Amino acid sequence: MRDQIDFSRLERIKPRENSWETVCARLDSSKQKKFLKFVQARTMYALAASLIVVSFLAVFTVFNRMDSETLLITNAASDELVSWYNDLGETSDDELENLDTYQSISYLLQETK
Amino acid sequence: MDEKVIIKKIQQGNRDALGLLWKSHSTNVLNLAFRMLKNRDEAEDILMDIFVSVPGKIQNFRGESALNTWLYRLTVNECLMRLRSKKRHAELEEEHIELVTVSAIGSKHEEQLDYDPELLEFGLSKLSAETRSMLWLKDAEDLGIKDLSEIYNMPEGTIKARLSRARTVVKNYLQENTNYA
Repeated sequence: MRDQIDFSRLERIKPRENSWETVCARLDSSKQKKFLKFVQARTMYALAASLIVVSFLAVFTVFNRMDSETLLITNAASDELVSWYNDLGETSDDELENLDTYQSISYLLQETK
Repeated sequence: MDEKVIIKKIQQGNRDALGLLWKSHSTNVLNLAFRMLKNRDEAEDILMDIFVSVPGKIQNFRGESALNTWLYRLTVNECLMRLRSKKRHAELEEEHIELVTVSAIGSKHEEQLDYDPELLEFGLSKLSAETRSMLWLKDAEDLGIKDLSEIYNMPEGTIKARLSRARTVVKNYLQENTNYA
């Protein structure tokens, strides 16, 4: 095309001889860096996972202990209740009102002596 | 090897395929960078940066444009980024324009065929790096307007107008300085 600028006489440079080797070396080093990052990341993940497991176990153990204590208390309370309930009607002084009346009469008798 | 095969192999991490790409396109990339930056060492740096980034960037390359167009786009963007980051663009232009005023100019009167290559270099220095690269790709590398439109992400009309203005600037410069010699 007539309108074009003629660049044919301008210097056309070529890549230096070691440029391709440099590119390869940079690519290799970036691969190594990626691998190191990957290893580091994996180590971090493993550490984080271990920490999570340990903390989960700790929390689980604490809750387990708390539950067993609550269970004991609950069991003890329920035993008392059950025995009290079972005793109801078995004896003459099992009713609280009667018991109170009896105790107050005894107390009055002692006072009048 | 077919371009699509090369792309696929580079995407898979094949170094030999990247080597083929280097053999076929490194000189063009280097010269484009050299035209934009006017510095051999920096152009060489850009060339290496481009090829180091190719295996990563080619993963998103969908093959909609030709491989050389894609490489030229990467190069132009990389050069513009470098020029912007260094804020050297304007300084470089001024530096070269000053050089022109003291340069020895060839004595031939005929327009293009007998110009002094150095004079053309100075003439090109009057253009911005982007326009200079555009003119280089069109007139030296013989790329089409459509390719340039893809590379610079500009409408074809804008590319044509910029090329026309650039040619006028360079030709006027060559004519003026050749006649005064």
